[in-house]
Parts: sequence; C-alpha cells; structure tokens
Amino acid sequence: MIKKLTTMCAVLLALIVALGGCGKPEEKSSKPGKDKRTIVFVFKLVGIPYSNACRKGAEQAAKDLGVNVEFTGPAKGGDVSGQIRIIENQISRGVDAIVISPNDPNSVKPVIEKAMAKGIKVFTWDSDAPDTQRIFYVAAADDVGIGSDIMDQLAKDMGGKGKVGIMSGSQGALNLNQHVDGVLEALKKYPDIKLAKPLLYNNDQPQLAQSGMAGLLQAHPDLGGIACVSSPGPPGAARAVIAAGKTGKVKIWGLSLPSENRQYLKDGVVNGLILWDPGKLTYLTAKLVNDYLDDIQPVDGSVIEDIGKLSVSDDGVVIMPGVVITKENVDEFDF
Amino acid sequence: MEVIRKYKMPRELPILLFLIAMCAVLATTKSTFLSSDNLRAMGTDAAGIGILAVGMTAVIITGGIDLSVAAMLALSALVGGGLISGGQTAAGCGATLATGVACGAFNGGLITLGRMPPIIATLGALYIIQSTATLYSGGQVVYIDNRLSLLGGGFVPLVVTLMVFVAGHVVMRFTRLGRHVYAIGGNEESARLAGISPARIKMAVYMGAGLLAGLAALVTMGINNTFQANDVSDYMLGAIAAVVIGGTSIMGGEGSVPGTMIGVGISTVLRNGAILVGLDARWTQAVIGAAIVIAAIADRLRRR
Amino acid sequence: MRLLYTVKESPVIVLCVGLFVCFALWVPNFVDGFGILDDVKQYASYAILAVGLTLIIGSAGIDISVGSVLGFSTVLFGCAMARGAGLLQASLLALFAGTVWGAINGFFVAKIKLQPIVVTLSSMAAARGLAYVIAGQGISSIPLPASASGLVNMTYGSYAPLLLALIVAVGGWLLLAKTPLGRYILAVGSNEEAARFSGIDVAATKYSIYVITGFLAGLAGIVTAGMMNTAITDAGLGYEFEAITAVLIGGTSISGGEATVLGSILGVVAVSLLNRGLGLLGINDLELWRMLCLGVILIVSVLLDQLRKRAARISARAQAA
Repeated sequence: MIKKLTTMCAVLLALIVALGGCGKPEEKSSKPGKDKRTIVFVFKLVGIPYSNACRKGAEQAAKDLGVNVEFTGPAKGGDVSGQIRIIENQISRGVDAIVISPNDPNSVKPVIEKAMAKGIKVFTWDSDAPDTQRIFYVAAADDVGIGSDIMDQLAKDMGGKGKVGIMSGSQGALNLNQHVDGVLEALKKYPDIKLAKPLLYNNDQPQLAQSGMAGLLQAHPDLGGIACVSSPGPPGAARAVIAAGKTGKVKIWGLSLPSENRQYLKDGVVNGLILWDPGKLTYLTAKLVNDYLDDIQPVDGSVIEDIGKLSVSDDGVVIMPGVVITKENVDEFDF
Repeated sequence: MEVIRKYKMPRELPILLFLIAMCAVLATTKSTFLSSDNLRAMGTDAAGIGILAVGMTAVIITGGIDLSVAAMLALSALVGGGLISGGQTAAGCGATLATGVACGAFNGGLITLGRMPPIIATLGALYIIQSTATLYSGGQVVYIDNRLSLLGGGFVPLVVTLMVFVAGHVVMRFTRLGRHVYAIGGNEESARLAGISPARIKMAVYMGAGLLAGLAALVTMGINNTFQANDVSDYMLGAIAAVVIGGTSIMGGEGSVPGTMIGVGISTVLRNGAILVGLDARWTQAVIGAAIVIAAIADRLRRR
Repeated sequence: MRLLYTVKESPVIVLCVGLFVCFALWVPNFVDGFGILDDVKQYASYAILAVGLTLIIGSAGIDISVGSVLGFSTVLFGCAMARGAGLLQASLLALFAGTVWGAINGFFVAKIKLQPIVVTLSSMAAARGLAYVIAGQGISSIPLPASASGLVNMTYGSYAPLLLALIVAVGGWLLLAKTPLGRYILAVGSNEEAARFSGIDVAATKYSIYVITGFLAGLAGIVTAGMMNTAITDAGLGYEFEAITAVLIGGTSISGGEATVLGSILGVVAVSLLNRGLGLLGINDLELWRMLCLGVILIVSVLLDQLRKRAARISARAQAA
C-alpha cells in the first residue's frame, strides 16, 4: 500500500517538475532593468504575418541598440482583456518601457496611468490611445486616413463611377471600423460611386473573404471595385474575382501584405495596396523610445536613414511615410 | 399495410425540407442564386468545413467530440505546406495527411489509453496543436505556388467534398466498422459484451477524423494557395454546428452523414443568402443562431 | 497522505502549489503579494463564469454561450450608461439581460429538451450578433461616461472584483453543498432518469442553473466593463473555453454528477499563476506558450484525477479487507 502511494507521489512530483519545465523556454531576460534596459512591445495579436514583421523589426532594434527588446501580445484577435493582462504583467515585472498597439484605446487608459505612476514609460505605435498619458505615438498613417486613401485610389481606377463594396475583418475591431469610416467618408467625394451593400466581414478567415466576395459579385453583377481594409481581404477578393472571370472588371485596393498579393498584383487582379513596412515602423519606434529614455525627443522633419522624413505634431504623434504598392514596385518588398 | 406501418420518416426529412425551403425562397427572389458561378462559390465555401464535418459525425456518433479538428487542419497544412512550397508536392501531400493522422492518433491515445473524456482530451489537444502550429510556422504564411491548384479550382472542392460524404456514408452504413461505431455510441458496455473493442473503434474514428483534417488541409491550401496558422480558427464550431444541425445526437449512437451534409448545406446557404439579400452582417450571426435552434426543434418534433 | 486521494480537489491543489513553487524558484519577482493579486484579478470575470459553469457541468450540461452573454450585457450596460442611465439602473439592466439569456437557454434545454451544446451554440452566435446590433454599425466600443467612474475606480482601482468573485464562489459552494437544489443538480448530473424517479423536478433544476449562469455572465459583464473602462462589443470572446478549462482542471467531472466550486476557483488560480509566471519570464509570443502549457496542464490534471480515484479505490478495498 505504502509502496503504491510512494510511487504515486513520485509520479506527481515528476509531472510537476515536467510542468515547471514548460515554463522555461528561452529564459534569456529574466532580470529586466538590472543590467540592461528592457523595452516591451505589446501588439494586438501574435502569430500573424503582420505581427511577425513587426517582431523582426523589434529584434533588429535589439541588436542595433544593444538593449533588450521583447515582442508579445494576445494569441487571439480582438482580445482586449488578454492584452491588458499582458500589460499588467509587464508592469509587475518592472520593465523600462512598454509600447502598446492597443486593441481598444479606452481600455488601456487605466493601465497606462498605473504604469506611468510606477515610473514605466508608456508609448503607443501602430494604433493610438489618445486621451491617455502615453508619451508619444508612432504610426505610418492614421486609421481613418488609410481608409480614405484606399477609397481615393480605388475611385481613380474606377474612373470615378460605378458600384463599390467594402470588406472588413471582424465587426468589433476598432482600427478596422475606423478604416471603414475612412472609406465611407471618402466615398462622399464621389457622387457617381454607389455603395454595394451589405458590408462584408471576413472574420480574418481567408475562406470567408473569398466566399463573401463571391456572394457580393452575385448580388451586384455590376460591381466595379472593392475596398478591403484587412489583410485577408485583397487575396480573398482576388480569388473570387478570378473564379468569376471578372479580372480587371472589378478593381481591388486594400490594406494587405505584398507577399500575400504578389502574384495577384502582377496578374492585374489586385490593383494596389496601401501599406508601410511594419518591421521598419517597429524598428523606428524602438529607436525613438530608446532615444527618449536617453532624454532625446523626436524632432519634426528629421530624416531617418532607410525610412524617410518624420513628421511630429504637438499632440505627440510621429508619422513615418507610408507606401503605395502596385505591380511596378511590389518586388522591392520582402514582407 | 405492412409496408406503410413499417415505413418510418427518414430522420433527415425535416431539416432537408428546411434546406429546400430556404433554397426555394432564395431561388425565386434572387435569380443569381442558382447560377453556376454562385453554386461553385458555395461549393468552395462548404469544402473545408464539410470534409471536417464527416469525421466529426463519426466521432460524435461514438459519443465523443473533437474540438481539435481545425487545429489539426492548421498543423497538417503548415507541415505539409512547407514541403510543397519547397517543390516536393507529393511528399508534402503525404506529410499533410500523415500529420493529420498523427494528431488523430494523439487524441485517440489520450481517449483510449489515457481513458480521458473526449471533450477534455481534445480541448487539451486544441490548445497544444494550435499553439504548436503557430510556433512551428513562426506566424509565417506558407505559399504553395499553385502546386495544388488542381484541388482548389472550379467545382473540384465541391466534388471532393461530395466524394468524402459518399465514402463516409458508405463506411458508416454498409461496413462492419460503421455498425460498430453506432454500437459503441449506443451502449459501450453492451457493445463490449458483444465482442467489439471500443478502444480500437475509437482509435480508428479519431485517426479518421485526423486524416480528413489532413485532406481538408490539402483542399484549403488548393483553394487559398497560401496558408497561415489562424486561417481556419472558425472551422471547429462550424463543423460541430453542421453535425448537430444534421440531427446527430451529441449523446452518441444516432446520426448520419447525409444529415451532416444537409447541415453543411444549411449553414453555407445561410451565409451566401445573407449576402445575396443584402442582410446587414450584424444580423447574420443572430439569424444563424436562430436557424440552428429551428433545425434542432424540427428534429425534436420528428422524434415525438 | 490520505488527503491526497480522499480530497476531490487534491490534483488542482497540487497543481497550484507546484506551479507556485516552480515559478517562485525560477522566476525572479514572482513572489510579490500585490503583483500576484493584480494578476489574479485579471481573471475575476473568468472565476465568476466558472462558478456558473461548475453548476451546469455538474448537471451534465454545458454552456458555451457565457462569453457572448457577457459581451451582450457589457454592451447593454455601456449603451445605457452612455444614454444617461444611472449606474444602478444600467447594472440592473445588464444583470436582467444576462438572466434573460440564461432563461432562454434554460427554456430550450429544460422544456423543449434540446441538447445543451446545440442551444448554447446558437445563443453564442445570437448574443454576439445582437451585441453588435445594439452597439450600432461600426462601433467596437462604447466609452463609459464620467458617471461610471465609481465603478471603474472600484473594479480597476481596487481588489473589489476579487472580493466579488470570492462572494460568488462562496454562494456557489453553499448552493451546491448546502441546499436541496445543489443535491438535485448533482443527482440530475449523475443519473437523470433516477433523479426523475426519485421525485426531483429535473426541468426546474436545469432551468434554474442556466438562469443562474446567465445572471453571473451579466455580473461578469459589468465587472468587465468597469475593468476595461469601456464597453467592448468583443468582450468575453473566447472566455467560454478558458472558463470551461479552469472548471475541468478543478476536478468537476465533464459527465456530470461530481462538481466542486472550490476546485473551479483553484483552476482559475492555476491558470492565472501560469499566466503570471510565463509573463514574468519575458518570452516572445508568450501567449502561444501559455496556450501550449494550458493544454498540457488540462490533460495532466485529468490524468492526476484518475490516479487519485484509483488510489482511493485501492485504499477503500484495502480497508474492506
């Protein structure tokens, strides 16, 4: 009897140790703040190509600046409380700076206050949280502006007339809703372009992007273009347009990665993308944050090598130049 | 007389009528609904979830459930897709299917050897397989350079899915394995007494679900030409919904592959119809929720 | 020693202690009272949901709509506050909304006798969809007005959510252990037919636990709105699976008849310790590692529970002999 119990305890112990072992991968930076400065980027969602590109920029910055730069975020999309949890976690870790791309700007307000009160410097990049204590925000364009840029390009290709659809990702995502607002806002400038309803939501699933677009093409056989504000949109719409044999008749502009659209751009199915290099954006942010910790503020009009001229406004918004990607220049981008 | 008395209403009839009614309304109000373009688009849309749902049907008939199907699809696509994008198309397809089977064996092992309730084993497997898939791929997109376009173009995804449905139906209805699946789902103890090995049958069923996840991975890659770890996270609930709409009992022992096919049809037509009639996306989810309950009530009425 | 196999919660206790010791040894700054409380507090809504789910799973049912119902109540709460309702009115409205969703689930499960997973799968879709509808086109969050600052200060600024979760847990424990309803729930869970023959009103029992769970989801919705400082349409997305995971880690049997609120709460604590420990390690993509560990922990804790039961049987046999 006792033997059996002892065996059981041994098994329990072994399992616990094994479990503890799970928590030990890459135990590289367990002492933040002591020997090396630590800057943590908290993105909206990890494990997708966009965040991956951001992470590469963060890793490059770590090498070049000689500081610890970490990159993390929730594992599922739109996870507001998961993101807060991660930020709380970094606060109790006592890192030097936290850079957030908030899933929701209001939700991070209290946690930013808390971090700043504990002497941790907080910044935002990629998506802003205005009306909080964040020190500055680094972006390639504002969320509404991206939407109107997409619509303007689309209107140009459509010759200023026809029917246009809109495809977004999830219905709850703030930045996507702002992109959609931008598209709708710009649409008002073109009286001869009509909106094709309903608005499509692909829930960040490529299959839904494709089938949604296929459905819209059936509902509006005279559709002239589609504005896609999240990354599965343009390739999904392109597949539906090819399947319907309408290449060239339906213009596609959107926000997406060049690597996902290279062939479609070259074949003329996708007309163009509005984007920036997420890696460079993150690299630049890490550099500006590191400078700030050394008491160097970002300066309006300063030119950064490989990135271009920055514009810095009074409310702490730093804008780096974005790019328009078409078939002519798509091969210059490797992300 | 004898014939009439013995005649039982086919279990799938109520939901089949529901599907037909939906199609009839759409076809009369929207002329494009039955166009070949639209049918092809719906077929492509139904493929991934449809193939997963066949495996799920067998799993649920044994009295189990598999929450890891979409994760298995993602991991097999990323493992195989890596090889395919490197030019080894045949090896990659093999690796895709093998990864699916291996994941299914992992589930089956936990359930039979570890004697774990299926919902717990596969929930654990969902976490493990999905995060492994994302970590394995490093969040990168796999491009397969049109190497599987044969599987993804035109009506091929629909045809493949229908073939899987037919094969699934034949296995479940006309083979010994199928009869044993129903037997252990109906009453595991009496099945055991009748000389059936529940462990072996369950192992086969979960491995089969894994194999179909691998096949669904190939078709999905064929359609999308790319794959990324989060691409199919909606598929798990989609597949379960299709099976339960199809009248398969979550308690096991009863249900059918044709029912699941109708279930897949209902959810596909709903999604497509919502766009055709211009239904605001905010209402679509509520309508889908209501449709599931209506289908379930129809099935409930039949049993009375 | 006997306690290891006689106490139902022993696997999850071992797990919590094990995680705590391992992290305390290997992770710097892990042991910091307020830090731990802060991190556990992030899981207060999960704990509240887990109490309801314990009752439901104990009755051999399941509810995967809790996350969506939480979201629906949050949005309703936010809309009411934004339209000028008082804190009390808005809170009552949110609680009412949660209870109504629970009653809908309960009606279809208990009265129409549909399968719980089918019913809650559809209310999961419907509640989320209607949350988007109430919020309005293209709205992803409704900032709380200044009149809600009391709630925000209380939920974000203090440990009130933990206290609330504790109260709910004690209530759930009392209900399960000390009331006739608790006995009915477990009787229905272990054998519905037998429960019916012994005169238990099975339908009323089932109906009431779905209503209770809906109410708790509404409560969690208010807490979430306060802690987030805003009502988010996607609030609670995916909570159902993590809350169910915590309940299962805690030792409640998925096939019903055996339920422990204490275990579920400890399950939530284990999940939050894991979150804190991995977070402090400073790993890239830590959420992915967290999910991986969560899967391993779930499987291991159920295996541990089986070991415990086997040991209990062996010991019982030894005593009989």
